[in-house]
Amino acid sequence: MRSIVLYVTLLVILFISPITVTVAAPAYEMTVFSPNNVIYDIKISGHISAYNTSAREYVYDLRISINGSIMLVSKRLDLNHYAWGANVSISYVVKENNTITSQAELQVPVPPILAVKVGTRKIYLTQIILDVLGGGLQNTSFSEIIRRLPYNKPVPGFYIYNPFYIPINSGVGDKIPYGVYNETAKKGLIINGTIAGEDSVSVPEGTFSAWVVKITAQDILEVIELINGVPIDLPPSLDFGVDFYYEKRSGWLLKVVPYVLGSSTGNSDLEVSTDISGGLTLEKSGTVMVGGRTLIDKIIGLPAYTTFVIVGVIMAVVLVYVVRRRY
Amino acid sequence: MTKKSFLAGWLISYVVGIPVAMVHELAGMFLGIIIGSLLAASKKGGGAIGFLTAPWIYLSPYIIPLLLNYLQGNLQLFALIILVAYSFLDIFILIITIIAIITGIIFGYIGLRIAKRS
Repeated sequence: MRSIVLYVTLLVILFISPITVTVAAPAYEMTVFSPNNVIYDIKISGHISAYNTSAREYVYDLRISINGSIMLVSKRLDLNHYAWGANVSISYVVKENNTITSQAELQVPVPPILAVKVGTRKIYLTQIILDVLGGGLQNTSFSEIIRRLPYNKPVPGFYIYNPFYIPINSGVGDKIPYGVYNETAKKGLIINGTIAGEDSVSVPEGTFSAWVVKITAQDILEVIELINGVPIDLPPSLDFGVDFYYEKRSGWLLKVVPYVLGSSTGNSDLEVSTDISGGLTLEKSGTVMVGGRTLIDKIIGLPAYTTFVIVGVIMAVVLVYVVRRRY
Repeated sequence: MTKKSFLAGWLISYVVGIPVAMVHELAGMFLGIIIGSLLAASKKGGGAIGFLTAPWIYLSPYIIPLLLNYLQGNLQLFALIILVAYSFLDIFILIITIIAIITGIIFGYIGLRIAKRS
C-alpha cells in the first residue's frame, strides 16, 4: 500500500512540477519571451535625389546603405520577467554625389537589461537603464555597473510594446499596438497596426505561413498629428509605411519591410525623389519555436517536436528502471 | 546508491534537462534534477546533482547559442565574454541553485526509498 502511495505521489509531482513553472498566458507561444540565438539580417538602402527639371540634371544624389545583424539574447530576470539583450553588428556607407562621405563598422554587445513581462508584449525599463538615463551612474565606473547587474529589477510605470511577437490567437482585422505607454500618466504614443491578411514568407530557415501587419502612412500621420495638434498634408505621390510578417504558429516576427516611395516637385522646378527599401529578415530563429522546432531540433535537423519525444522516452525508461531496481 | 548510479543520474539530468530547458529553463532544470536524483537514489547524490547541474541547465538556453555563434565566427570573443560573464552575475541563480539542491535531496531520498522497499 505504501509503495502505491509512493508511486502516485511521485507521478503527481513529476507531472505537476513542470506544469506549475510553465504557466504563461495562453495567447502567446511560451518561447517568444526568451529568445536566444535569434538573428536578424539587416539590409536597408535609401536613395534621395534632386533633379532640376529646367537644367535637366541631378543637382544632388544621396545613397545610404546599411548592412548588419542583430542577435537577441535573453535570460530570466525574475518569475514574471525575462531580461533581453542583443549583439548588434552594423556597417553603413553614405555616398553623396557618388563620393563616400561616411562609412563605419561597429559591434555593440548589450547585456540583457530590458525587462519583458511574461504573457504580455510589454517591455519595461530596468533600474540600471533609469540610473544611466538619469545621470545617476555617470560618475561611476563600468565595474560598478556590472556589480549592480545581479540586483537589477524591472521598473513599472512605463513600457514599450514589443514588436518581435504577437498573440497566436490573432486574426485578420485585429489591431496590433506599437509604441510606448506611460501607466502613471495614462498616456502613450501608440501606432496601431492592422492584420491585413496572411502570406507565405520565405526566410533562410524555410517557408512559413504568416500574418501581415500593416502600418500605413495614415496610421503614422494620425500619431504625429496627435503630438503636433496640426493636420499634416502630404503630397499624394508620397507613400510610406511598414509591413510586419509574423509566423502564425508562434506569432514570432519573420520579416519587417519598411518602404518610402515618392517624388515631389512643389512649386519650384526641382524634383525630389525618395526611395527606401530593404528591411529586417529572420536569419535564425534560435530557441524560439518557429515552425514547432526547438533549437536542438534545428541544430540536428530533426522534424518538429522530436526532442520532446526522445526526452519523454528517456524519462519513461529511467522511471521504469528506478521502480524495478532493488538494493 | 553507487558511484555508477550517481554518475548516471548526473549525465541523465543534463540529457533530460537541457532539451526541455530550450523551451522553458525552469521546467528543464527541475525535470533534469528530479530524474537525475531519482536515478542517483541518495540524499547526498541528489543534492550534489542539484548543485552541479542546476546553473548549467538553467543557463543552457542562453550559453549554448552564444557558444555556437562564437564557434561559427558570428560573435567576437569580447562580446561572448561580456554576455556570458553577465549571465553568472545573478542573484536568481543562487536562489534556484539552493532550491535545486533541496529538490535533489528530496527526490534522491524518494529514489532510495523506492529502491529499498521490500
